[in-house]
Amino acid sequence: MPLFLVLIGSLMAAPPEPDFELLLNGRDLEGWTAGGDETGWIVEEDGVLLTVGTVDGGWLSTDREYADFVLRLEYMLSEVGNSGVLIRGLAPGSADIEVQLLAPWTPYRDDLHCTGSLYGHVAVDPRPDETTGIWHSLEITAIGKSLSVVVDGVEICRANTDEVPTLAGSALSGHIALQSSHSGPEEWVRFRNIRIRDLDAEPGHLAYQLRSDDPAIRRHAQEFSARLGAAMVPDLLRLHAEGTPESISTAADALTYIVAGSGRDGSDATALSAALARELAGTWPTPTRAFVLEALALVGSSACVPGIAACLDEPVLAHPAASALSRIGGPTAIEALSAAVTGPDLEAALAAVSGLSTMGSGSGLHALASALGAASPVLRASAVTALGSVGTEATAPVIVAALRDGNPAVRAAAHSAVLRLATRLWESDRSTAHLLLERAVGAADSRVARVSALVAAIRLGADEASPALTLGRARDVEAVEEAERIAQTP
Amino acid sequence: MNLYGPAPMRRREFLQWLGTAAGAAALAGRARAQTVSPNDKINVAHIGVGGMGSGHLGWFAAMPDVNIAAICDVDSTRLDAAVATAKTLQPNPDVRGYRDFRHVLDRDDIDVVTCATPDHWHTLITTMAFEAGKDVYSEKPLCRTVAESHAMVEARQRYGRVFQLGTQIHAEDNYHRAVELVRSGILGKIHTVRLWKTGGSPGLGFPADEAPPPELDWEMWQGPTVRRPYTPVRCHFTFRYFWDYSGGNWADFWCHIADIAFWALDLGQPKRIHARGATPTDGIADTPATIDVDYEFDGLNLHWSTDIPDVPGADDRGIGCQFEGSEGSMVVDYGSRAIFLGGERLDDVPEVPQSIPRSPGHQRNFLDCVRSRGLTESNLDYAHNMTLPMLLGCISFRLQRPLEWDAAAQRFVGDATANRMLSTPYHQPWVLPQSTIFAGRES
Repeated sequence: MPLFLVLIGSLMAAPPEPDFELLLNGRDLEGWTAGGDETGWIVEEDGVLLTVGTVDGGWLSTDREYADFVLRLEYMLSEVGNSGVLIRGLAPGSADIEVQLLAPWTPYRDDLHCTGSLYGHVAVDPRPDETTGIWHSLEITAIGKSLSVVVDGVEICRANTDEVPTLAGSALSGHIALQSSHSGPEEWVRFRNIRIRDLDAEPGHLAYQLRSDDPAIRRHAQEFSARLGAAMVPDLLRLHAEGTPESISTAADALTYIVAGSGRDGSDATALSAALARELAGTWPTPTRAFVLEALALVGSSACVPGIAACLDEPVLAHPAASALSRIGGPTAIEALSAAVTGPDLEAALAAVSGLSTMGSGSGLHALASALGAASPVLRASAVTALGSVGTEATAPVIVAALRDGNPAVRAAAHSAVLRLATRLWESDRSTAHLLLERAVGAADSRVARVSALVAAIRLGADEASPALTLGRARDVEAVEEAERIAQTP
Repeated sequence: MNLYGPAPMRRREFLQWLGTAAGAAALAGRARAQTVSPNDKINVAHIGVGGMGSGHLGWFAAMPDVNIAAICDVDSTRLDAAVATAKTLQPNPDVRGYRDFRHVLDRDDIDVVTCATPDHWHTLITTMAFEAGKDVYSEKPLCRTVAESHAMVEARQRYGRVFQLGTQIHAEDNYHRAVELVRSGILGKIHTVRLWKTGGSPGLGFPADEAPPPELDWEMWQGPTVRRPYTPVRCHFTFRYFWDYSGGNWADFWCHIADIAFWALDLGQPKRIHARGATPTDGIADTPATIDVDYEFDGLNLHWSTDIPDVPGADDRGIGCQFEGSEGSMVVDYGSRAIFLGGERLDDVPEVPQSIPRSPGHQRNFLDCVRSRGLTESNLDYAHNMTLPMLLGCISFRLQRPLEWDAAAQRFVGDATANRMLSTPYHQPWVLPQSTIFAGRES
């Protein structure tokens, strides 16, 4: 045959299929492993795979496992050739499901055992062309529990494995293997253009499977979705945005697995972080954007800070945005939270204060200190609580000043904050710590507050001559005595 | 319909509280001492009176030296029922109901607070009660995050308060005896501990969101945790099966059964944690349906499972702790033991002397310490140490990977995401009063 005819022939046999990849490279058996009765697998010069069989049979299996796929190939059988394609084998060369490839030799095999049948499990209808010695095309589609076999362009077998008693519970993923011809030593089978569309590499397909009613299918799709990682984000958000309890829960589970797979050191998280941040600017419903922010709290990088900060003044998003910023940390996150603390939106300011309070010492001190002058007592109380956690000796004066706030709840929060700051400064700045304790005793609203301050002082190690206890005795000797009793509590 | 709750009204309520808070305390002329004198009854307030809270009410009301003075719940149906019950248990016309716990803490005459809210409220209620000079009996699990646990420990230390974690099995004779047996050395050196509790989180189905019922203050119920639309399964009782509020079935029962291991062996903190398992597929619950965790402690391996291990004596016990030593092994559950020594199965080894004083009962032990300022049997430092591995196990489970823990730094080694899960910012307007160890660290 002239060369150009060969070329045209192979082009006609395999038109361009961008979603498919060749499983057999046409040169060698890279990516495949042979086993069983190894009669030998030969890659011929034109890239055709030939195996001449024995009675016992052997197999050639993909090293990779496939779950949902469309497999296409062409086959040609010798006069009494007997072969098949095994799918979803848990081990190479073994599988519950074989798509039979068989010459119509005698004794005549029935529809349950002929070419295109799921051998012994599901019969063909209609019967395919079984002519030997010519090329036939075969397409096997496996999606979850549904299987379909197409020979020469005609679907001849279809099944849902749950509805076939002998296939119920069969594996949803595994190796694909070709059987050698096993009807006689002279018989053979040829394969060419073996290519596969790996549906589990396609976000749209996985998102479809995540919507399945079948938990096993959902779980499976979740695993593959975790492998795809960042590429799944838009589809998962679409799923979440459907807004049903099922869709929200499924999207959340899937995203959790992606976050979990994004790497220990954060390096693999970069793509995920960028994909999530991109979607924040989209037109997703508010709960879906909150969902994105919750994921960014775990994997977001400082590159995401501006996008997250833009969410702070949206009512439902203020908390998840502040929460994400506080966990991402760094100067830009602190700056964004600080701006919200002193901004016009009370809800954002409160969320930002809470965020800053869980960051490192010294975070957002200027903004938190300004918030102590805010009109809202809720904001003042929150800010002084935060300053008790992240404040330094530099903010001691403003925290102390809050002990005399006009609102009793702010004063109570300040009292707690002063004692916490004193605890933190006790080792590094003893004189400021003493001053704080003394002020807490002096400005106490009630006996309870005064005793609490004295207990804190004694338990830190303040002695009788310390400013706090000296002042305490001058004001209320009984309070000091009670504090000494309480302070003995182990 | 705004499923997140009517925010403006809640804000107004918050401001109303701000107007009266502490002011009430300041106006009260008679300042009650923060320690109880021998002849006084102990005034108790119960916060959260659902399943466990009703138990608290019954337990404490049965104590002759207790006066139930206040009851608080964000669900007015439960609140009214509990107040009515309290009046039948002890005909006290003064028992008052509250929907906001801050009003309870404002009362100087309250000596003791019991807390049986969902886990996400434990830390704030406990630390604010300490600040208000009250002793606290709080339910397990202790809290939700490592940062919260530290905040509680440090606040108790600062204010010198008495705390008991509600692990009432701790008080039973069986646990005391098991500790004596392990510590006696008859089992040799303990190299492996297995803990198990069958049954994980149920899925809870896929219920539609609803408007919160009028008797429930859903905004306050959520308090410091993330806002979600209301559905009944997220709320009373089954809140347990959501990370937003708790850690699932395993976290709940860890506190009871890990208790015996930590008591007997004084385990420190784990160096490595590796959790595996699956979440439910049949509902919106997201905590483990199955979970296995391997912990590496100094010189000892500890395993958690939702499956019964194949070890002598595990039999069909749905919950248990097995100590495996160089000379023998012992399985302990809440009420019984099985000891395996030299091929024999025993219930006890009488030669081991009784060395640990028995508890007068978990609540009684707490109340005695409230009076004596003594150390409770499930005190906060102990509860923190016992709870910490469970909190770390939750993070390993959620990230589906092994983690290495640096106890000195209180951080995971080389895992930025895991470290972000050690604390969680509170929902406004609540702010967690951080401990020194967490406040001082780099973000």
